[in-house]
Amino acid sequence: MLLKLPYIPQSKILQQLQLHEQFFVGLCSKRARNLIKYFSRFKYDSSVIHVPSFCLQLQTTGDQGKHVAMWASCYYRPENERFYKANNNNWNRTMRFWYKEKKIKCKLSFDPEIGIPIFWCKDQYKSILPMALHSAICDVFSISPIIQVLLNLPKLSEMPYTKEVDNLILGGGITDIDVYESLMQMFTIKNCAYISPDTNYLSVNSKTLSVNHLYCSYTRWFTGEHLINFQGRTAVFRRVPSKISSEDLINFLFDWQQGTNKKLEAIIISLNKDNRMKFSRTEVFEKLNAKSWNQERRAGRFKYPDATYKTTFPSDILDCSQEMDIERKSDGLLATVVVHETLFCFFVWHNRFPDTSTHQPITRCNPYTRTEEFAVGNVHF
Amino acid sequence: MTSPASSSEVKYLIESSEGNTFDVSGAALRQSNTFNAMFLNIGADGPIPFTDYNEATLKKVFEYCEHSVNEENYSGPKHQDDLSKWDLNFFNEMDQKMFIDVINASNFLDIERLTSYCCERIARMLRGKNTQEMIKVITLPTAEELEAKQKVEEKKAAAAKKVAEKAAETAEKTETLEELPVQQLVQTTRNKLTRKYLSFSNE
Repeated sequence: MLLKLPYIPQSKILQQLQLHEQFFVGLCSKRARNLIKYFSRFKYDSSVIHVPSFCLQLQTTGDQGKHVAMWASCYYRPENERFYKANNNNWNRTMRFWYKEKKIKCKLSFDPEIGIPIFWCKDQYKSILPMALHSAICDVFSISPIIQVLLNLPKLSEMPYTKEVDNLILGGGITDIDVYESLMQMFTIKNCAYISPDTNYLSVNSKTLSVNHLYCSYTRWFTGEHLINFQGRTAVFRRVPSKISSEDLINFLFDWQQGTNKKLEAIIISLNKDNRMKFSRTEVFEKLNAKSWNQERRAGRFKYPDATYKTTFPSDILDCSQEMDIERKSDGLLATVVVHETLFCFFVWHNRFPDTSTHQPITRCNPYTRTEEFAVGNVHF
Repeated sequence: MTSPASSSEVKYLIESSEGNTFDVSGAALRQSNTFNAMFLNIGADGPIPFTDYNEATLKKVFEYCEHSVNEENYSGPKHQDDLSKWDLNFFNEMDQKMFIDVINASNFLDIERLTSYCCERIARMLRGKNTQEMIKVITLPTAEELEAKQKVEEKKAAAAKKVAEKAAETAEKTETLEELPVQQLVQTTRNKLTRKYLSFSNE
């Protein structure tokens, strides 16, 4: 019936359906899937595996995701108690999903609170079902198959089975460094990670420091050694307690100048405001052969990479038109160094004159302070 | 026939795909944006042809329009529970084919209220169902049915191919016989007979 109609009635029907209903329609046939692809084009661009709520979400990059479906093990586990008690009596319908040629037969029920489907699988499939659902959702809605996972400490055992994660948010303050490191060994983070192990110590050889785009908050473990050993492209360390000094910054800058690191693009460190220790601009620039901005040598505004964790700052930190530059003699690479009492920024100009039309300041109002803030990065879920 | 500045009592003649005509009031027709754009301002000289749709479908569509003439302006789809008894009967009377035809006609005539009610009805049919149940609603063949259909089609194609091959062979033989000139045929027969006669005389 649906597929025999003109596009306007089809579109009116699909508008009235929930996301999971659109998903189910898309699973009916190839033609139905094409219809959903066409109908939902430009609406969503990625999917999120939200482990704390056992939920698959669809999102437009940077926005909060919308729930599509949930997964759970048929067997009682403390983690799925909420679903189990409310939903285990209506399992007369089934659906099948495939993941890497493995067929997963699921029982279907609907969450009484939010009305989205819950797929119940055998306990042995609980870690591949979210991946199967993710794959099916990406296929039906024709979105990028990047894997984004939100995970927290109490649900570590529920981590979906995957060897690669594109973007990861790891919340919940992991205090056991061994648990944290073994988790990091389970998969490779391909793009960006928001991780904040709540420990006093982190090895300088940790995989954490190899993440391409790293965002860490309240990093008690963070020292000058970690700064020098960072192997990724961008890193933001926020609310850093007082383990890092101006001396560490100088060492890092010398290390960069004398080294051959061509990968690094940006480092931002913001100290805890309560810190007694502050950065000293004079002390840092005293020892550097820094030059003020020359508009013929580079643009005034730094182009921060897009696929990084979205965060905001009270000022436009990417405006480097008043800042000092250092140059690496070996390859002539230019970098801007920004030092304030509680903020250190280091931007490497791989492209000295980026396209200004695509990186104008993005501002948003902070709902708590009601002040305008400047956003950096766009990955958020 | 009718004047463009007519009141709601003025009737318009509508022509269906069968070539039949029937009356529809101006007030009912004005619910169609397509009609408004095409005929209301310039008037129609003779029956208005909606020949892509059959009489039963058009009558059903305009039955709805006639009924909703006095209703307040359309303000988005109603919840199914808010539909009147008449509305429910109107929808329940239709079989699936008629329902699709009505949506198609309503979409072409751009009768927003009817299109939206029909779409809302289909959306409700799809809600709370899994894919197997949805397939039944949207009458798509299941994977098994598709497979069976494909097998039948393959068999049919194979049979048709065999028949075509046989036909081609027969045609080829006929063609070879037809192509031989009559004189050549006579000569061949004569040669055979001569050979037979010679062998007979030798004996």
